Amino acid sequence: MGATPQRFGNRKPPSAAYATFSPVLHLEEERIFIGGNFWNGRATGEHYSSNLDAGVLTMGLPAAEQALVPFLNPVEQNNASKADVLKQIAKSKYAYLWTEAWDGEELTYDTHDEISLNYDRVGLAIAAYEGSPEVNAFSSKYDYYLQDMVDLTSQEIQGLDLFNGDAMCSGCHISERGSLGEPPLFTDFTFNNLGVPKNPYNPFYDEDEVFLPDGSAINPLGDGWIDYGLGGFLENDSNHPEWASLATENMGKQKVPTLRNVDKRPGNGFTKAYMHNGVFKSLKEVVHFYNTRDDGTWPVPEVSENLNTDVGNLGLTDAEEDAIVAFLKTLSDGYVK
Amino acid sequence: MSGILFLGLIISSCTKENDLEFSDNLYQADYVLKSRKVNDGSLTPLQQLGREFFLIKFLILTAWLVPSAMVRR
Repeated sequence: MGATPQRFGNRKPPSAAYATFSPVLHLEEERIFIGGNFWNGRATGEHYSSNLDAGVLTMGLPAAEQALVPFLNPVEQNNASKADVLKQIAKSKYAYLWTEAWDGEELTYDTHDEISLNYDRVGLAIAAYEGSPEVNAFSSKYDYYLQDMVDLTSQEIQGLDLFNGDAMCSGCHISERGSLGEPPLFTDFTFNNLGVPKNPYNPFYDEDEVFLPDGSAINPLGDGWIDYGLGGFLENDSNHPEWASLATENMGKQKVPTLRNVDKRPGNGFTKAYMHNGVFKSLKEVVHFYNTRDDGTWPVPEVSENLNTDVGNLGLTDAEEDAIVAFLKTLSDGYVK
Repeated sequence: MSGILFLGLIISSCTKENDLEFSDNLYQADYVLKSRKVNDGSLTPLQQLGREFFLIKFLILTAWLVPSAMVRR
C-alpha cells in the first residue's frame, strides 16, 4: 500500500534483512537464474556494476537497486522525481550525515549528473545499512546451535532433520555453513514455481478502478492479472534481450526467499503473510501446502507451468509438519536464552 | 517516536487474516526505533545515513496504512 490512499502494490514486500547477500542476477549453467532482488529478480544489480562513479563500489548490488524503487513508484512513495527525493534529504535534520558519509561532499542536485550520482548514493547508503549487523544479526537460536552454544529441543531437531531430509526444504533453503564456515543464508537465490494459488484478497486486483494522473489504471487487468514472476521480467528486460527466449521456462517462478526471521514479528498477535502474494498466513499452512499441494484440495496454481515437482506430496504426518514449523521458529534473530 | 510506535500497534491490530502483510520489515523498523537512542558506534556514517533513509522510506509507506486498511474490502 502506497503513500497515496487506495494505491496498492501487487506483491507482498520481501524482507530487507539478508537481502544484501544476493548476487547480481545472472544465468548459470543448466539455464538457471540466480540472484537479483525483488520476487521476480528485476533489481538485477547491474546498474551499480556499471556505475562505479557512485562511490566505493567494486561489485554490483541488487539491494541498492531495489532500495531506490519505492521512492518513485506511484503505488509506493510516489515522489515526483529523483531530484525531489534529494531535495527532501537536503532539508532533513539528518542531512549532516550525507557529508560525513561522502567525505565532506555536499548534497547537490542541480545538474543531471549530480542527480544521477547522488540518487545512486541514496541506494548505496540504504544497502550499506541493510548489510550492517544491525539488520543481519545472525543471532538466532539456530546460529547459536551451530556454534554449540545452545541445544535445540527434540522437536526442533526432528524438524531440522526433516528440513534437510524428507521435506527437501534445504535443497533451496540452504541450512548448512558455507565452505568458509560462513553461516547459512537459507536461500540459494534461485527462482521456483511452487504452484502457489492466487491470493483472492490481494488488493491489487481492485486497482483496475484506481487511476494514475495520466488516466491509466494501475492494474488494467483487474482480477485477471497474473503474476508471472521471473518469466514476466525476462520477457520484457530490455537490458537483456537475449534472455527473452528463456522467459517461457521461467513463467511463474519467484525468488527463493531467505527463511531467516521467517517467524519474526513485531509483537504477539501480528499476523504474517507468506509467499509472493501473501496467500498463506501461518508457517503451518505453508508447510502443509508443501506437503499436500497435489492432493486435490488446494486451489489451482496461479501459474501452472514450470511447477516444482519435488514438493507437493511429501507424505509428512501432522506431527512432522509441526516439527518443521518448530525448527523454522529457531531462525528468528535476537534469541535470548 | 512514541507516536510512531503507537501507529505500529494500530497497524498490527489491523492486520488480520484476510490482509496482506504490508511489510516483512516492520520488526526491523520497530527494533531500530526502540534502539535509536543508543549510539554504540557500530554503524559507519554511510550506514547511519542509510538507516535514516530506511526508516523514512518505511514510515512514509506505513503512514497511510490505517485509513486505507479500513476501507478495503
